[in-house]
Amino acid sequence: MIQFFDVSKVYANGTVALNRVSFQVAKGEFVFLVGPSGSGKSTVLRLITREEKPTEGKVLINGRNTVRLSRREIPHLRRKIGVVFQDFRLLPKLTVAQNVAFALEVCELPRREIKRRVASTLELVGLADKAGVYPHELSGGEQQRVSIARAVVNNPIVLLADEPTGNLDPEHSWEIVRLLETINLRGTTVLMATHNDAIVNALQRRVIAMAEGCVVRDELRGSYSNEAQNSI
Amino acid sequence: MKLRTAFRLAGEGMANLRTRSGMGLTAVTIITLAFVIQGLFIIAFLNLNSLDESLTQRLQMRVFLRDRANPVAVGEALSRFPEVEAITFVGKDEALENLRLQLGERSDLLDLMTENPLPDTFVIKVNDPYALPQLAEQIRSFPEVEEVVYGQESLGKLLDLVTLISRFSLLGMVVIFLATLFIAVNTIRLTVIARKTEIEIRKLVGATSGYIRAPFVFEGIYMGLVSAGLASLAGDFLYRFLLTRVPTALPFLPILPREVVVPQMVAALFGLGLVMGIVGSWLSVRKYLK
Repeated sequence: MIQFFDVSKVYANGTVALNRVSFQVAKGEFVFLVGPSGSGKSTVLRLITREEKPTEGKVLINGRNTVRLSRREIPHLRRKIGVVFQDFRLLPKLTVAQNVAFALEVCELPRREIKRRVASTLELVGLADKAGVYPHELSGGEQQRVSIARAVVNNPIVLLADEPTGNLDPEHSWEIVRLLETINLRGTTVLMATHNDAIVNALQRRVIAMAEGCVVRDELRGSYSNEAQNSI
Repeated sequence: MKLRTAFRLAGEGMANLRTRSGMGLTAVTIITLAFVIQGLFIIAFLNLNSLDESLTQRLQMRVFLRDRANPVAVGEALSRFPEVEAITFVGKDEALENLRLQLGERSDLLDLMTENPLPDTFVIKVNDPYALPQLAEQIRSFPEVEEVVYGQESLGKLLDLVTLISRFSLLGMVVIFLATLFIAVNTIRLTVIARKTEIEIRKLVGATSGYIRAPFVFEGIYMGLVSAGLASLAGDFLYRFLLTRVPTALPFLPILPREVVVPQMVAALFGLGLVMGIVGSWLSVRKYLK
């Protein structure tokens, strides 16, 4: 599903963001990407969405080398990938339903189909009753659920979440993680970059730990840090 | 892109203009003024071109042959001059027929004549007006040639001047177009910046470049077409005014009728407006699509 082969990324300003990173994520996996700020987590996500190209090495998504994608193919790759951010990135002038529909309009689906899928996705994230509400009227956790709805409404094969709980209190953070687990159970591969050690330690999922642009640890039932594991 | 999507994005472009209507109005006003000047240049250009053409047509030389001269041989000799661009032969019978047409009702005068007094004639177009006197001198020395007649040399100078002015008006049109493009780019760029987040999200959810660009292209097209429409009205008004004044103030200056000039001007302005809108919006979104 997601394959990194000896991927290095050097930005134009000379910063080495990734240094010979290799890992594979299979279909249906739930993976935590952990590590301090600047360790390269976000770069990994940006390479998957093809916002960046690797300086060296290969990134394969669903078997396709992202470097070889033409400009016309990139949008179609992105339609298979849902992305959620720490800051939600909702459009303030659109209602919840319109924000979610935004991702489907781009694919030029028939209006009735858009309506149907938006309704069922809002149901999934538990916001069916908030369809006509504007983002600023929602709590942070609810806003993040809208942004998750927007990310999955198109039935992506992968859901990338970049610190999705970063702006939320613990209670709402757990809501979001449970929602991501539900989405994962429906077959979507989930890759979540996070600093939230409590969640990572509790869930006991696969953990890929990064430091200074390298993968330093990749465990199937991992925890946030080595120390945490040793203490168990 | 589906037609339905195109309509929706066209509506979005309209909404963009409306939310920043003050800015849009300012831009449209300035672009309209620029297009009025553009229209004046177009009017000048069309008229100068027609003046140029009519002057060029007068740069002809008429070579009258003696009776019993062989026109074929002379024609061959004439066509060998490098200054000669085109040669037309008008036989004496044809010349008589032309005269008859010119005389119209009084053509019966010609019936008084027992034989055709008109000579065989070559009408020669030259490529360089300054070559006329010398060329005439050479042709006059042909034994078969009775007489050579040509327009004055000063015509050539006038022609040069007209060509120069019409080139200047062309340059003016280019400069004005670039200026309007600049205004359009900067106006649309403000909308683009205001909608940066939307563009980013659209990119992430897999919108094609065309889809992201479309609302801005429509916004540009609206500005261009509205400006072109207003400038066309103003241009038509101005041309009608010119038509009432120029013939009396400058009677020697031929001016084209409104039916010829105004449709061409309107077509050119709308064309420029369209191109300005499309190119302008293209340029202003480009940076954000990378």
